[in-house]
Amino acid sequence: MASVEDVPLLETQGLSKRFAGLEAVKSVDLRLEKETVRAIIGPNGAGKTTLVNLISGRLKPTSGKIYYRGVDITNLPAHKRASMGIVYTFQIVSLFPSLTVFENVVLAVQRRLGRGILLRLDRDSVYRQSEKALELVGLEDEAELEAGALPYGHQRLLDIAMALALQPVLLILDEPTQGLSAGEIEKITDLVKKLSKNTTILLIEHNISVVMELAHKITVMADGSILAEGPPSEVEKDVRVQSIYLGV
Amino acid sequence: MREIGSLPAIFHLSIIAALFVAQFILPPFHHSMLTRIMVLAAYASGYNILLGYTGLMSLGHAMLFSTGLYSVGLTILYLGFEPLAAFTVALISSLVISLLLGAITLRTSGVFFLIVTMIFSQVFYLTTLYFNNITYGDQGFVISQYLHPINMGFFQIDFADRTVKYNLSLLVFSVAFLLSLYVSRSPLGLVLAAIKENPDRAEMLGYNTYRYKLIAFALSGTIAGMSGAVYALVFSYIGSSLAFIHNSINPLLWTLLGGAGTTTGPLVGTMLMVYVIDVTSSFTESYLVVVGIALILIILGFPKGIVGSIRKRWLTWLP
Ligand SMILES: Nc1ncnc2c1ncn2[C@@H]1O[C@H](COP(=O)(O)OP(=O)(O)OP(=O)(O)O)[C@@H](O)[C@H]1O
Ligand SMILES: [Mg+2]
Repeated sequence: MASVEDVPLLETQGLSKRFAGLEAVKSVDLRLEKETVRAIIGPNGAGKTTLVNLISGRLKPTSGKIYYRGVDITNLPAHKRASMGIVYTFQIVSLFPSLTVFENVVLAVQRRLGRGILLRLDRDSVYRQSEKALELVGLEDEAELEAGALPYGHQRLLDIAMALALQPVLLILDEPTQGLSAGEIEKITDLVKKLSKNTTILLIEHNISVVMELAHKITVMADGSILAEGPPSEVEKDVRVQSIYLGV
Repeated sequence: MREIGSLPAIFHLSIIAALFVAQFILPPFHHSMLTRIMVLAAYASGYNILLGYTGLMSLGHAMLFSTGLYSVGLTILYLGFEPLAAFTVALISSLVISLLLGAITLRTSGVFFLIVTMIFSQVFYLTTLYFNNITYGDQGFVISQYLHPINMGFFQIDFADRTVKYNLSLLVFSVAFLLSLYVSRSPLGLVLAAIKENPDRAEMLGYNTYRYKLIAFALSGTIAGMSGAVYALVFSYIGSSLAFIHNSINPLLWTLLGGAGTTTGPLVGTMLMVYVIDVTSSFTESYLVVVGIALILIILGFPKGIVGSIRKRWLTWLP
């Protein structure tokens, strides 16, 4: 018998997803160790987003199983997985654009602190923690603006602030640095680094220097399958990866 | 920040106070118009919780309104219930029917939700016609002779008295109005706003969006039933026409005209529409044409409705 310590935080077994004729994810076995940063890289259309959609519950797999802390979660709805700590930020920024920046984070915080229909919520703690979440990404001065009115980079930061406000156990970031300035990329890199001390992070990222800086382990996907897996130094040397992904 | 805030609170209480004072000033015609408007505005305020707050367009509310209406009518006519007992039955039955109808129809979304709610409501309508030996179908029945005055010791509540009718309408309106204000500023209301705008993201934040939509549906439907119950007590008439699709389209129209998602919009829209129809129906039979034109004008000119536009331009604090 494996001890509790040996159970990976997340494990997929033979996970597959077929879209009308196209097999986007093909029998993927993935194991995520606790409190590490795992990067998934791969060319466009490799199936990275589809894979994390299966993990977060936005999509139902065609076949295969997903275990979280040793428990089968394959059939749980997305909102249940989110409340169990599996938090996913979409590849395309997804906010509540006509609500204020503050209300956007309040939504995350009150979900974590509240029960039932949120009648007996401690508003002071909700507000305090929401302010903290905004400070973490440096958006506190924009709290009362409409979220949809923020510049793109700040919308990304808000999206991430909402995810962090949920205090995730497993945080899935789908290309968080896409379209950001160098300064903003650095901010996110720092955040992820700090966070990784007590959070497991699954990071889909095209920016190779970000991957090299953050990842403890890299999984390379192509054509729906895992092509290679290992620590950054090894994956970098892998000839197949170089030819498929790094374009060398 | 989402708190009721003193300005909106005073504003809403002033509206209720103004409606209260109006009964001492208004000539009889407008007195009875306002009695009607307030019951219907309560209905529209409940409808607004679903359409305006949660973004769900139902064409099934006539069924929920009529559940309250018939609960009062039938229990008084056949079981000899006292008004208060009949009203309690109406509240409970409309809550139960709302939960059942919501649980089924919320499996769908968008235009399918519209159609499925409409189908259920039409089936209900046809049922009231089919059992016309009990419901008296289209012709309906009147309960005024069974509405005995309630003795409150030093004074009597006589349902035939126009002052009683007016204040009963005001009461049901105030409940719906203040409840919708409370919900709009509550954490629950924020979740409903989130679901309206981006349900996928709300789900990924960990909200069971189906359950929240069901809560909104039940709240909205129970207010509809409560309004139907008061309608029966105030106007004493119970008939199938109130279960017909017209009575589902009406609150939709009033809410859109006044401003979906605003707390005062349903009152403004109902008041305007009831007066417009009253005026036009006096010189044209085809008041439905007027309704149609109004709808087109709303969509083209005021997509946010009257109060929605005012809020956007001038009064941004308006809930
Ligand atoms: N909902 C869908 N219906 C049909 N096909 C889809 C759907 N979602 C993704 N696909 C297809 O599945 C394949 C994998 O897509 P996916 O988005 O997972 O790739 P990705 O690795 O995330 O790519 P990128 O780096 O561009 O984000 C692609 O061929 C895509 O066109
Ligand atoms: Mg992708």
